[in-house]
Amino acid sequence: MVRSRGILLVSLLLLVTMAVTSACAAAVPAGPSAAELERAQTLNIAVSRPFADPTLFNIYAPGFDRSRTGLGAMVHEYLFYLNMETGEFVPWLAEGYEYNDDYTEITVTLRDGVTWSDGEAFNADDIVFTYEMLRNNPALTWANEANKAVAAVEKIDDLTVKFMLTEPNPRQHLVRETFPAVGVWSGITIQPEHIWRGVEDPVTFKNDPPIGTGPYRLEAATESAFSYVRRDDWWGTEVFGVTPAPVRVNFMHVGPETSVALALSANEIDSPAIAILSPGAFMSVKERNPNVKAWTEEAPYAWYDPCPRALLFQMAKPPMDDPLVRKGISSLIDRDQIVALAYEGATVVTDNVWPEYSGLQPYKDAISDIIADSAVTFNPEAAEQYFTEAGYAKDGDGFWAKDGQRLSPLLMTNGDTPEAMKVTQVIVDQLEAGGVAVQFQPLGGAVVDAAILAGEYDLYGPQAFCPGTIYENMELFHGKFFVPLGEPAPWYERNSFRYANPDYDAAVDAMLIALGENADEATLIDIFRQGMEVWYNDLPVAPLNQAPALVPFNYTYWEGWPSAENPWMMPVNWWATMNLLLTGYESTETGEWIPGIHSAGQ
Amino acid sequence: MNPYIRYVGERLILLLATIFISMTVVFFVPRMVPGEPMNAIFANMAAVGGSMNAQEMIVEYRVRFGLDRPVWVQYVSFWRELAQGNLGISISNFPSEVSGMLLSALPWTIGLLTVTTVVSWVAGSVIGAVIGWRGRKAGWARLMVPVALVLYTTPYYILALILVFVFAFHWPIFPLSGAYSVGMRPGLNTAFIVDVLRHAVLPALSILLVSLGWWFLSMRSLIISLKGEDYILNAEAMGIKERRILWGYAFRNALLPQTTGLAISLGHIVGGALITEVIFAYPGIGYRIYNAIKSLDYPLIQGGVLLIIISVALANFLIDAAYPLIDPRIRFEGSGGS
Amino acid sequence: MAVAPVQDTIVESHKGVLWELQRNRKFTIGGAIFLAMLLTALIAGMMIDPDLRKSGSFPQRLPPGEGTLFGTTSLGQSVAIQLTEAIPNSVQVGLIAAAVGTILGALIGFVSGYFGGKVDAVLRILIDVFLSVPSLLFLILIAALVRGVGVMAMALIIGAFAWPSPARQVRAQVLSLKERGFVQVARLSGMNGMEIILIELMPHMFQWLGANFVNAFIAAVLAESGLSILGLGPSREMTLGMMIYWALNYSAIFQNLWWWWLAPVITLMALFLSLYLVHIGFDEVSNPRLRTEG
Repeated sequence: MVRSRGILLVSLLLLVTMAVTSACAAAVPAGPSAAELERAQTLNIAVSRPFADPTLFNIYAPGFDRSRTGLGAMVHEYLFYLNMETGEFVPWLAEGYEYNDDYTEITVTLRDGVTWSDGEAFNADDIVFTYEMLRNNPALTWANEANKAVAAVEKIDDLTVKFMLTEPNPRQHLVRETFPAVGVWSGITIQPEHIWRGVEDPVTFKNDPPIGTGPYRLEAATESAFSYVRRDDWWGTEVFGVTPAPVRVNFMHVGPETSVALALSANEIDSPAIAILSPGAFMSVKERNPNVKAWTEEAPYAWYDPCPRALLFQMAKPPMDDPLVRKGISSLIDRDQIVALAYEGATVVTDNVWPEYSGLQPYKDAISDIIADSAVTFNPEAAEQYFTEAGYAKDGDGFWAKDGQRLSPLLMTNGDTPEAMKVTQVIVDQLEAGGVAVQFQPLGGAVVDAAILAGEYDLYGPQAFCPGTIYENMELFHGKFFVPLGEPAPWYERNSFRYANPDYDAAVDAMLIALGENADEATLIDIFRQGMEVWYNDLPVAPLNQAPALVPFNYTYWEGWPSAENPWMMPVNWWATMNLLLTGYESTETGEWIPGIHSAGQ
Repeated sequence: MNPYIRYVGERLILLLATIFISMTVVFFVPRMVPGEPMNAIFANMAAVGGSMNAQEMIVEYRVRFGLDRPVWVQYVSFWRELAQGNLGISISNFPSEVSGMLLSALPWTIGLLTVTTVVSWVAGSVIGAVIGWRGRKAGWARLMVPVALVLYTTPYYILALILVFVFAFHWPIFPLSGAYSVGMRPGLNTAFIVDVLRHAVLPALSILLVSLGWWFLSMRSLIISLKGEDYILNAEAMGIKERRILWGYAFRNALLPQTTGLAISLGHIVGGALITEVIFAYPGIGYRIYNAIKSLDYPLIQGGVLLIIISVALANFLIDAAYPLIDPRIRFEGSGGS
Repeated sequence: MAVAPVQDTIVESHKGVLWELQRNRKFTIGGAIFLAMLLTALIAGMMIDPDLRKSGSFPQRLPPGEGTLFGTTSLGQSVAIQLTEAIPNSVQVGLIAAAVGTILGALIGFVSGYFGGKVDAVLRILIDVFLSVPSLLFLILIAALVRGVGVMAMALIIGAFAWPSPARQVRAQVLSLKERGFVQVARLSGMNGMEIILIELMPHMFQWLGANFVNAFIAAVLAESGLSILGLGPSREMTLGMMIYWALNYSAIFQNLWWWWLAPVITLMALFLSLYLVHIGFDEVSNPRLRTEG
């Protein structure tokens, strides 16, 4: 009896000891002042997934995680950066560019004094070599695009290069997949010739350590974090006279949404990447930690992502080949309810596929009458009319049917994306309420890609329409991207819905020509309107809402973040433009240096 | 031949058969899923906006991965490369090698699971035996029964989230996530080991508490049922001390089915740990395999499942080999139940 | 999930079993709780206007008491109404999966244990292989393949992996019964294989199978909730696991929407508890020696 109790006690003691030991370990202070000091000089960015391979630092390897690792922002730099907030095209590694008369050549002047992190000079040889490497290794990321657009790169002298294009393109300097300039995400990244020339197979090259021109170098990489430390010998310090404020920058994976929210509330991180925090979680964080702010002080808090969301119709097969059915379905969608339920009020509805940037407002104003007459708002009575006109009638259960067949479109979505799952839940309910017996199929991973590109859906959503500029978004609907069902379309929003209308194509082609001729805005708006008349009549997709780019910033340790009051830069930590957030840049309009973030309280 | 050796030999063959059959299934099933694994690569690229119209690249990469050959040829070459210790290259993380990716993750999963399983099994069995034996005489300790019931029916991930909320946020005693602090260098020094232990407490607790509940209940149930057995009554009648009966007779007899239970549940424990890894951002194998399955990354799926199956089958084998040592009656009849 | 130890037992009179069962307190309490939950959900579910199930039918994020029984979700649905759909669906998954798994497992276990020899060798390898393999991984693979399925399909898929455990147990039991002379006597009296299995062996297995069924039920519901939380659950039908999935998707724990995730979790616990009581009751009836203990 005694011994039984004894054994019981021993076991419990074991458990307790384990717990106590761990608690004691937890209580050991790491020197509060030293840790605090280090934290105040560190910038912590939370990313959405762990790093699958922390030994690979080759930005051109297909498996490399370009945005989450931060390599493109901290270590690599680009010739130009596009500040989409202000519209400035900021020269960085280069000083300027010039097209020839027929837009088949771009001559770029490089900046003097730029050096790689190992001391070698950055010059035209590196650019020529990078494009050569892309040409010789078509398996590299973007090699395909680059080779199609750029025929060759010629060195004029150490600080001048000439890009020879395969066809005239006045906007080539903005195409990041083919030209080393970035606005969103990243682009063609110039690599050091003296390192890469000897590499046998650039596709499998690990590139350890990664050599770049950026102000930081990679200190350590694990599955949970990529850690960067500031370089003392960055060329920008000499040439520009600035040093980025954070001594250390960590891109770290802290776990799912709840963990990120907790970390942000506890000041363990300074900013999460996009699409990690839902609006509701963000508001809870704000309650707990008043130092956390997003773009605006009031709802909807979010900055507008340049890619609005829309519902795709598969126009190559019935029933979505009938414009009346498309308009009927679009009229059944209550976009306000989607915003309220799926986005928790953190965004606004949209009736077109362009973002809410002030620069685009004149275009939207010009087509407001066209929009007013179209089926892009919630209007159940109109929906009934459309369906009836298309030959449908409600059957005994209240669902639309024709010739004994119910209208039963297949709605596919990406089941891995929380945003998509929430939006489709609401849409399915709305369509069913309107009498459409929609079939819902969430897919994931590689399976969803194959299905969407092959056009196996009737409805797909919500789809982001990038990049958000007038011409580029118009071009997504061009008939030149039409492929038959079953063959993979170029991409989801690049006509996987199989739209083909020659009148529309004509307007798009005219727009490209007009841009090349540097036509004035009035002409462009005119052409735009012509195209949109056709577009809204056909309604190839149903616009839903603007995309909330909810990016909270923690002002506890760092200040100077861009916001609605101070929109000096895009508030993004997941694009290659992030380094400008830390270093600042020289304004092309005023010549003044716009500073990057600084320590709080200074 | 020594019958014990023959018995162990049989179990060894079973081990190898297990691995062979499972790997065959793991090889073929993902390939039957409609989907282009190459899209995993291009999804990565396209997510950052590039590589439209990548048909040529898809073709080239299919050749690189050998996916252009007939499935049977791929199957044979899979085993051939495995014999050379080559697990292939991950598709979605090209050009990273599968073996590198998995081996760095393996220690975390194994460490977490081994410790929690052993501790929960031992502690649960011991406590369960005591409470079960003393029955009503255990008094207040009988409260453990409903507590254990509640614990074992709670899904792992809910318990994990509650632990995170309470012990990492409200009272920030333990870290929120990860296996060790950012900036720490792995190494055999005290600071690192302490850091690892601190980070392991919450994930381990979430698995441990749930399992503890189960082992407690099952051992208690076993002991209770054994209490009425003839030999127990006989021993009591003979005046043998109670604690000797408990540990020498009842516990030893209950140990066999309890061990069987452990062997059976090993596969299940691995599954539960997967979700725990996700919540705590613990860099183990489960999360890696989960993502591999989603992107149809054949080599990574095969490699990951192989490692897990080897571990589980090996553990089963060791337990089976230990059976006859625990209970001489079982000795040579092959896999026993109770 | 390890199988609860099932006792070695002989039930003498079949008629007596049912009578004994309903006299046993644990069995009746457990059964009552389970049936109460299920019936309430079913009946309430039938009385509710189906339109109220749609998202946006209620104001979002209301705590319990302000007009709704258990509060509302971020999607504007009532938690109580969701439960009326989730409980029967989860129970359905558990029942079907457990039935498929137990019956399949029992059959295989019988055949393997009774016929012995080569048949036994092959089946034994199969059983052990499937036991070693972490079924969750294959479940994830298959669920990813047939994504967007309903409750029934999920139940069948889970059931397809539930058979090894009962098979192993049944086989062991058959082996031990074989030693005990029933089979010899039956053979001597001229019965053939099938008859022996059905008439002599089956009744002794009855209570074994019952216990296995309950275990399989619990395991199946847990498997379903595990798959659901990974996002692989039924897309349009609500289950307890899917309720948790949505709650986590909207960060309910962090946002203090405790009613949203607590309701399905407590329901799950109550379901398991009641089933466990039923299981214990079963055990006690079959093995009288257990009856006096707490």
